[in-house]
Amino acid sequence: MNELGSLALITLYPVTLFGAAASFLGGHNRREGLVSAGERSLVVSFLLLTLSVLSLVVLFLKNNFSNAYVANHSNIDLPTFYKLTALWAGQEGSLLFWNWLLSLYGIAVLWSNRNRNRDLMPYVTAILLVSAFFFTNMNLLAANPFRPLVMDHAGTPIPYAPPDGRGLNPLLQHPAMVVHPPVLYLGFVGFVVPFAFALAALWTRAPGAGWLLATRRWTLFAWLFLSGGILLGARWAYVELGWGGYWAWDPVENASLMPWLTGTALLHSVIIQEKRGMLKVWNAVLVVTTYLLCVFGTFLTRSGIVSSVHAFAQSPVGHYFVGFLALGVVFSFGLIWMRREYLRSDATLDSVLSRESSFFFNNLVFLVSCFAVLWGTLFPVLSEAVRGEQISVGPPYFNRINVPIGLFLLFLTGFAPLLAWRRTSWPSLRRSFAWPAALMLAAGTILFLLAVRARYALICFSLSVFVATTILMEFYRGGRVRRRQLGESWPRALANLFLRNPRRYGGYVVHFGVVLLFVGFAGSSFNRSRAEELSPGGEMAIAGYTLRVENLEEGETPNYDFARARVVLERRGRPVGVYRPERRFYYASEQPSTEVEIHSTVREDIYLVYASTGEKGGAVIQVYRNPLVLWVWVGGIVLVLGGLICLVPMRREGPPIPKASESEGGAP
Amino acid sequence: MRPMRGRFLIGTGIVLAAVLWLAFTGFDEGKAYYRTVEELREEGEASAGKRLKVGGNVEAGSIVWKEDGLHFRLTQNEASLPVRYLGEAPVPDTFKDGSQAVVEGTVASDGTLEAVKIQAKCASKYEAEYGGESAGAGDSRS
Amino acid sequence: MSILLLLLPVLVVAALLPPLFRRGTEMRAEREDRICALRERKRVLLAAIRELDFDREMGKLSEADHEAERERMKREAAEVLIAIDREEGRSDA
Repeated sequence: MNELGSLALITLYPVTLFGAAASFLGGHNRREGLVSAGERSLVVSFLLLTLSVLSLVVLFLKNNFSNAYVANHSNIDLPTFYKLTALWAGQEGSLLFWNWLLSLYGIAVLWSNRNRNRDLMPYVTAILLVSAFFFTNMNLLAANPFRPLVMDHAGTPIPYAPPDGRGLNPLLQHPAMVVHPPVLYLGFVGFVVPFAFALAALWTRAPGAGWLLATRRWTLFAWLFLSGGILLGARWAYVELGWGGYWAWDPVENASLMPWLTGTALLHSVIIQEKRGMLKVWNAVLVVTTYLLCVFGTFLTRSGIVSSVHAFAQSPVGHYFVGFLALGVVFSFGLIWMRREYLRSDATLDSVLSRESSFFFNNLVFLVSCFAVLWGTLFPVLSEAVRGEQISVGPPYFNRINVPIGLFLLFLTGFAPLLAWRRTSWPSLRRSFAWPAALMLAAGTILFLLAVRARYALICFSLSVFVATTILMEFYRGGRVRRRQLGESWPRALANLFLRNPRRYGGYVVHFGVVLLFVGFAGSSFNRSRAEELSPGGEMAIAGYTLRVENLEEGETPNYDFARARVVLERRGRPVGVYRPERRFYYASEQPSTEVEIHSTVREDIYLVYASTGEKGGAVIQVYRNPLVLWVWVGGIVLVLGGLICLVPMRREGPPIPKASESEGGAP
Repeated sequence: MRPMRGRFLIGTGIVLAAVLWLAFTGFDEGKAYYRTVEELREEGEASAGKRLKVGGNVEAGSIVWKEDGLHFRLTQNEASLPVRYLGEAPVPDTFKDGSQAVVEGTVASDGTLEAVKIQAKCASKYEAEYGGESAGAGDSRS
Repeated sequence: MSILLLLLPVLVVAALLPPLFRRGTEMRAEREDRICALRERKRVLLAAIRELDFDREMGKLSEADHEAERERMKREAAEVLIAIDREEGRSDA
């Protein structure tokens, strides 16, 4: 199996190179044979990578610890499910997995474009294969998953590894962590599709905005997975890391946030290019930047350039990443520069008070935020290079910038849909604005009287009311038009709003999810925590809750031993549940692990941690009261659902729409 | 079109200026200087009062829970630094004897680092493995 | 196992090389891609006009703005339709 996987990887090397060259030459000289050989190379790459991945999976399942990667990330007693997912637990495996996903996207793109964009496809194929070549190169030279364990003369592995495996990092033994990497990677890798199409269109000077339309769904798809991946990561941090929060501005988290910010900007600004033929250069830059940030994000996570709790240690893959990124930046931006004439705008901005201009500010702010995050993340490296002294910037820096930016974006989320394209007249704006603004002020006043004094939280809650109102009004007004024009019932009118214009109304659902997310974020202004050592019978109070330790237990499983407290939680004297926070010690990896318990309600979470066994033999219980956290997860789900709605193909002509407008529009 | 472009430039300018201002103030509040245990020993008094991030290995057997917090020592080669952890969050799972830790805090008058944050990773696992590997790769190339 | 290992590169080569010896077929003409792009543009314009009408019904646009914008889009749509006819006419010839 080791040989088979290895051989598949080695064979991949010439295949990607050959395919890239054939595709490019085929496209350039318009030779069908070469183009088809290039496309076959992509399919063969996919098959070879699948073979490679399967070999590694079999090695894991057969507990073949002569393979270094398997020995380091699995052990005999590891549950089978985690043996499968250990595939992406480490650097070598996850790079292989990345490459496999890339080739998967590749064949999906080939298939969906078998009769379309034929002029672009050779170049798209070439770019995909070059990307695959780069990752193959890294897998072979710097991070080979099929490396045998090095033995000394006595047959002892170097460095020492137990004969039945070192085990999977216990932090990774959690369902959210199992799906988080593939989901995030699907997002990261997915942006390669718009990237490849953009470069291909620039190279061939393809007419129209065809490439944008061709890739809009792919962009959305990738964005959806990236969002899901980030949220799953946050969820994992919350339930697994045991520090009571879900976001710490850790470099690894920032790595996934940055392409999300530019990707979100891109999703908005492509609409402008589509509708008005503007911002072409801007979009090209955003597409390129997003993909390169995805690669950069993988680099940050995998190379350990910025020290971080879950970044992997320094390793030689860094050089390869830097090389690829540099090449990508020079080539892409060089191409954009060379094709600046081709990218010239068809129109100009007419008014500050228009949908276009609100999108412009949305983009500006997203980009500024991304840059601020990038700057903060890389500051230790930059200051080291410039001043010879590593200086890190902590969460205060990130929050200081991103909280106001987030609030501004939240405001735009509500404000922009009220604006019309090109220009908006004041009377119509006033009409749309009145209700949301009134409700926002009312909500703000009520909250202030209820003694909510945290400034940003107050603004955030009020804005959330504003945005939620504008979104509901959009649905209400849209539904009313359909009712008036077509006599549809309310449910039917609303369903048809979605079907007729899934992108617009799905987008509103995404926005609504964002509102819920922001409400959840603002809740963190009111977090409380407390820790105490409690013996059986001991009690502790926090924010209206009382928790009482009933008993303490100890025990063991083949994989780990544990200490556990049985805690009864009461709110205002009434019991609300029994919880068992636990502390484990995993044998194979010699690592402790905290298993938290969370009492979650719409109002707040009570988050229980078995911090340690105290001096008096009791359990040191750390408890957090985190308001509104549930809103974050619900908001995340709503956001993803909204994104899925956007992916639904637009229904062209269902029930007859008023004849007049149709015939007028169709045949002038 | 000219006046229009002017207005957009002004808007852009306002956004950028606001963010720069936020960045500077947030930066001062959040910055911390990286030091190794050895560097800190050499500097002595100079680093007092600064917010520091100190990296080193957790000395085996030095972790003690006391009334006023968690005590342990960070070591690097010969140098060693006493640390008292005062932070709210429980220590991370990866924090144990021999693990690599980065602690963030300020040096008190008695030379103890009063930490508010601990980050740790298991030395045994990733470090040794990739250290060994990169050395191996270097050999094969040279 | 070792036979399989030998077979793999052979299979790969066998899969990749045949198209290279196919008799020189030219790729489809660029014109078809141009027509595709134009049709796409037409579809986008029609959708935009529908959305514009809808926005007027919702009261987001003044009557005058709506009229001006609609006129502009209709003009562009007409140009696109003419262009499509021209391209298709050429492909018949």
